[in-house]
Amino acid sequence: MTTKTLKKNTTELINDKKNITLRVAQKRSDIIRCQYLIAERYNKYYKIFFSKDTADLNAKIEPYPHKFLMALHEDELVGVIGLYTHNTYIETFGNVSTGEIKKISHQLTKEKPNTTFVEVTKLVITSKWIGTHLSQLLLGAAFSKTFLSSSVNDSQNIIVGTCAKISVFKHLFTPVGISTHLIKDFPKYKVHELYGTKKNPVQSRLIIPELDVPKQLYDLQIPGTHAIDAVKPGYNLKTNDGTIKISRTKKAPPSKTEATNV
Amino acid sequence: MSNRSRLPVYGVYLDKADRKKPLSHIDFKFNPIDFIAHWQRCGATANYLAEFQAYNFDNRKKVTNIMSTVLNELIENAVKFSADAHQEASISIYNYGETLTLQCVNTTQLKQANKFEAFIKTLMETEVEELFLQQIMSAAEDDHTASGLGLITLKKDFNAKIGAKIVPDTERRLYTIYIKVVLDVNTLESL
Amino acid sequence: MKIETEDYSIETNDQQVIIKGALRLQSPTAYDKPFESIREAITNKQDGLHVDISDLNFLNSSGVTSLARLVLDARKADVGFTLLCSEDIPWQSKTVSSLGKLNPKLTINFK
Repeated sequence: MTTKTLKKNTTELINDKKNITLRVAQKRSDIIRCQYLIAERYNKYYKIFFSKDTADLNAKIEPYPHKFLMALHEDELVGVIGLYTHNTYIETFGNVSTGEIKKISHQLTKEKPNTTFVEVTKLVITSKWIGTHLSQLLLGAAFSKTFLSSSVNDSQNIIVGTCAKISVFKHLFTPVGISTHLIKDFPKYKVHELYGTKKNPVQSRLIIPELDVPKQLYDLQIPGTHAIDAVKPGYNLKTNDGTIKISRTKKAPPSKTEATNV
Repeated sequence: MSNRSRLPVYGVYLDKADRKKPLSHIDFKFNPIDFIAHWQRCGATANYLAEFQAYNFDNRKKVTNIMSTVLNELIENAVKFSADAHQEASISIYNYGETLTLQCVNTTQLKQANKFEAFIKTLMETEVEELFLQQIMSAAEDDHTASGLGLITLKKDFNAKIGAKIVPDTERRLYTIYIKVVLDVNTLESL
Repeated sequence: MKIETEDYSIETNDQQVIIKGALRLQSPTAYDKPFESIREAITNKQDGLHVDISDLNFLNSSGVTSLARLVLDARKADVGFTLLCSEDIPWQSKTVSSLGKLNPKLTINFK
């Protein structure tokens, strides 16, 4: 019977899925909530502080992102990912030059467009959400046209940089289907002493959204509500446009940490 | 409070002056997250509380400087060593006329509580100038991020009497740390 | 060379280093960058280094640790170190006299 099936599905949805609302922080209160969640997680795990004006990576003082994408569950802020829209981290501290960015993007696109360079950064989730796919949802959503272009009028020709340890690329980027291109290893700073290791070094990488990001994520509706697996491993991101099934790696492990340098 | 006697209490924690009613009293309650998110708030808060107190003194400028130095060290410690950034911490200032008592309360984890207990014992037992030099030398060699020098400086430079109490919260496996700093007003005015 | 923030300034010239304001950074390591020019001066100036802190109203204990390291560095490099302090700033006379025990060649002058 149709009704029975429907009822069963509804129950499953309640048990196994959680609805997450994504929106770009615009109100003052939202921006402060995002800054505080990032500062709290980074301080707890890496003993890092943040500053609006005087970043110093050897002193473990990081710059706050310029834009924030919020993940809310029933109005509670459960995760944040940030964006540097200028003075990016990999340019300021990673010895990555505009020339290098242009050279790599030209090799990939064979075009020489006027580009806007932004950096996806500072993915954090609250403790309760460890083991869910919230990190993957937020990471994927950060590469949406809406978020990447939140500080510019034109969503065309945006190139994205990011900085993370190799395991993060493997366990977060690859499972959601985002390809990355190595720019160079990130120089050694004290700020990463509790993050990267010799075997798992921190790298600066480049992403051309139109080539490297799956269409479902690039066009992801923000603001919008999306369902994620609550606890089960495996991989499903349900957007209001349908389920995204991306499986480049067979087993996408749920996130283990609450803060990553992405 | 049947097991009160078993609580580790150090130094001037139960000071005679505390039994009197303070002439002036201010409590400042805060969540460490505000200071983690914007570090300069430590100094700003210390300055404000110091200026507030200094009106009761003859040399306002000098006392503001001393009080701000003392308060800043206590706030910085509470911010750095709190187990939960959203768990309320506090600073209280009691003016008894001849003495000033400051109390700082924050919660911390077992590891930090043990470290603090070992430190406070050393602070009680060791000559303060010698301890200062020891800390400087060890910090210079080991690059400790928390230099542990704050309370030593308060004792050495401002003749502060220090007390501490560590209260376990078994349910949450946390420890509440009470630090008390007693300053002699005549000493402050004559520095 | 001059580092200037809302809270403090550090000016290094041929004769001396002048530190002003309130220096209350997060940890001793946070002082590495602001004190870099002083460390360089210790390496380069065989004739001695003059550091003027007479307008430095506050230095937290992390900063005291870092200043003490500089005093030790100067001793290792056998470079004279002169600190110009203010009697009006209570922490200075106390802290600085203790630093003298780290380096017998530390000269302390009061304005």
